[in-house]
Amino acid sequence: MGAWAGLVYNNGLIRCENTDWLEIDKLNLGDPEILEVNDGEVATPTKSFIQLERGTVPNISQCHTIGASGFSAGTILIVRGLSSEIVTMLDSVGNLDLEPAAFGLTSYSTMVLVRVSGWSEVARSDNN
Amino acid sequence: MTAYRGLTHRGVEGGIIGGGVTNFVRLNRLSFGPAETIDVDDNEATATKTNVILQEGSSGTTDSVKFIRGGTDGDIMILRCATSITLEYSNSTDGMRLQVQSNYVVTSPNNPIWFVRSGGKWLELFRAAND
Repeated sequence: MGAWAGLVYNNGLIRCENTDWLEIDKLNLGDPEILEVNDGEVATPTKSFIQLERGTVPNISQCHTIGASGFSAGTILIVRGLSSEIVTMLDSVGNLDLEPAAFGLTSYSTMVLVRVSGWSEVARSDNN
Repeated sequence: MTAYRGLTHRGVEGGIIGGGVTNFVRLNRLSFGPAETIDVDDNEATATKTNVILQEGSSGTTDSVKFIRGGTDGDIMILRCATSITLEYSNSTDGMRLQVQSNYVVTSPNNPIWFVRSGGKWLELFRAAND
């Protein structure tokens, strides 16, 4: 097989098709995409690693919705805070499935989510 | 570099970079392969893989790790200790940022801790005490 055999490109998606496993020595998600919280919402990420900061319109300290347009089930999303200004992640019907229902993100704290029907929490870590 | 529609193959470094026209890399199963075992010397260790086992080295403090050298922002890392050792992960503001900024002691390789590197620091994602 050639170096790229089994990798299939289709409409913005690379899929491993002829092999069950992708084995890699090191996984790197690149720099986080910085997204603003405005009116409790965050736009659809374009990366799997994002960093949240407060936006400019009302309700910028609580996030109940993260956009998911084009995201399919199984997508992993890692979220971290950006500054000392807390952004509280809140459980919401149909979007964020969190337990416990709230988690404050500041600069070094992290949360791991997986896309199911909404964004379901995998783990959280308060590193402050 | 050789491009494969959004994947870039860095032949020399051996890396593959997704992005550009590629929004997702989708796979059925992901493996990080066998763990690399590295020494802790003088509170430090240098990792080159995502899956890492730490063992005691021979220089200075070997039962406490404060800095993991190597890696770049965006890296995911899974740390476990070697069998039959006690290892303390040491929280620091410029090294590993651990839950509630507290050190964490493990005595079994069955207790992994996951990190993402960001801003030059290893930020804890989660840990599992399976023993």
